[in-house]
Amino acid sequence: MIDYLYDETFDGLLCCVFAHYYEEKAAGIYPAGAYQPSLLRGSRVVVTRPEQADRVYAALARKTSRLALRRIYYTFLAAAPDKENIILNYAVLAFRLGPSLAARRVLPEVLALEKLSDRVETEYSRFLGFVRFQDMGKFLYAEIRPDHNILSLLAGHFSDRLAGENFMIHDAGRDMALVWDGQEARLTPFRREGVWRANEKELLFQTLWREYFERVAIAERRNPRLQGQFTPRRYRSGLTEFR
Amino acid sequence: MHFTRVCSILELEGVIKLNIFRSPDLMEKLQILAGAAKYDVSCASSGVNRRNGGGLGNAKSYGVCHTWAADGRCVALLKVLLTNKCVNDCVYCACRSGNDTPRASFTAREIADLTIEFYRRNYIEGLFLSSAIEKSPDHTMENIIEAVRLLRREHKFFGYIHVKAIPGADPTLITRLGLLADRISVNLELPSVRSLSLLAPQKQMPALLAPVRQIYEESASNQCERRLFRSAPKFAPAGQSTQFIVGATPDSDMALLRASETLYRRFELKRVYFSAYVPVNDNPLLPALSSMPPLRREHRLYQADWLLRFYGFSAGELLDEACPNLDTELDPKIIWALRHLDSFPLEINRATMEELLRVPGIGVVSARRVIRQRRVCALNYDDLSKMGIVLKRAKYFITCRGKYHGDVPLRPEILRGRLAPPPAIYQPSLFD
Repeated sequence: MIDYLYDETFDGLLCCVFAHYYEEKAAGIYPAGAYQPSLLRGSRVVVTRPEQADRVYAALARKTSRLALRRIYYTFLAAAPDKENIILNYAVLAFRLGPSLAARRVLPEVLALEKLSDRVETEYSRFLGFVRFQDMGKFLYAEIRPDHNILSLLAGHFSDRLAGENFMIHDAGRDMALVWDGQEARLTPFRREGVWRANEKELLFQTLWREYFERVAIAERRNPRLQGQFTPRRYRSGLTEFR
Repeated sequence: MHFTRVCSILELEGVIKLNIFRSPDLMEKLQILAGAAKYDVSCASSGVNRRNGGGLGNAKSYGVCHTWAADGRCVALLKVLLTNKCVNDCVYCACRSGNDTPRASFTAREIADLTIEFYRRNYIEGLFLSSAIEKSPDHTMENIIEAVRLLRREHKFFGYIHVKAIPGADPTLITRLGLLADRISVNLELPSVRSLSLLAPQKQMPALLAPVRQIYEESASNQCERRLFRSAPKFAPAGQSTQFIVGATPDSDMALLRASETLYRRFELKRVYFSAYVPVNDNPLLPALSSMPPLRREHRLYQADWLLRFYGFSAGELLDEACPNLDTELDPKIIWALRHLDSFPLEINRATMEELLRVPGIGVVSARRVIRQRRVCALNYDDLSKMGIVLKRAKYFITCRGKYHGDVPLRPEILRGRLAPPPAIYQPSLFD
């Protein structure tokens, strides 16, 4: 038994699953950057090889369903310390049980993964609505601070919706940005220097939107608890209408 | 910052370029016309999948909410009236001609530009355009069509558009509207002819139902046409909806549910919305201005509405002449189950989908999970809670592998005590 360390890419994780089967059994999988060496077990950094990752991915695709594959990827995006091991346990079970896995929500391995992937999916669908762009003149810019690493999931939706625009969605907590230039969507490391000032026209639409937001609420039906359920406080700093 | 002040600063600096800024009262119009549109409860952006066809925007059939207002209602669309200048004098309405309120009208271009600018910033999923009746129904409809046409044709907008059809307008206008918009709705407002003639003397039930029927027939024939010619333009692909006011008249819940059921079955409506009446006018025919909107009743009506649409119930099963109103304390499904205790408890491993859906506490998602899971192995009580099925209510109505976990006898009065919410006021016991 050995601890495998990987480079925090999805391919890297799949290579650890590969090593689990073709080399030594894994005790656990951890990100190489944040690993605390254990006294009891050895550890090894797994080199990411795309051809190995492809083999594991193809095998999972054969053994499970598209839905299960999507759940595995969503879980990989989650901000949870033991997500790698949850995925490993699920993959091992998938190879043993085959397609009937998806029906077995009672199994603790399946439940753990489904719960985590549900959380990521919920946040992803929330952010389809919660991204707020500012018109910076040459492009649209949005800053988000999601719990999970959902930036890559937003690419398809927004590049279709705003196909004719240039935009950047910036995950300020992870220093990553999704950039669309009208042709191609790219995920790049990005850090913003200083404050970007919105122009007057932009400020005007923000004011109009805030005013609209105030006006649509019916005072006699005020219900801050209900509002809080759907727009949790931690997201509000990114929402124009709450600032 | 106040809009006119922003404008004056901007004009001095010569920054203003777009037409939309030239109108210094845009903010005021938005305030008046969004404020007047808020009593329309529909804000769904669902029912149609469309990719961006070379312009701006797309639509997702599951709908996307963008924010939630202070009353907890979702905001998905820019919901405004084109104008609040109305020739009608409906007693319940804030825009009635007899009221002395500030009046305003948007131009079609203002609506289109505002929608585009909000949409680009991802504030909204599209437009919900309604209107008071200015001059005549035809005149109003022409204006609505012009705003929607600008969006679709000039701005190449592929996002969601929900519009109101104005009863009494020329049928050809509704046809034109249906080819541009995703969803059309006609608000019937009141479920009986008597209430309608009392509160909205200028509205006639047959005139209100005519566009509902027309939209139903046109989308049915459109669907046939599209089977033959796939490229034929779609007519209102997200269907039609309507709205009833709750609590402005003595109409019972049964009248409302019966009417909804008829609309779903006869005209295939996608949704019937209920709007708890918020007193805006002082009138002896209406609840007093100080009374609160009947929110609990509205909530129960929506629960019953869900039972009609997704759970295979009919209005007659939920309510009858003997008790024409829904229980406010317990939800309609529990009430139904308590009246049919002879068909419970159900064995979870054998019940059909239809039967599972009738168990209080089990919804569509849970029922599907049970069916899928039990193909692999029989379920016991712990499995259910592990699968994320909420057993708080369901446990009194099911057995798992023959075992009943409800711990009380199946009698209506006992179950009622268990299922009813605890009294709001805490009563200290003698023995505490």
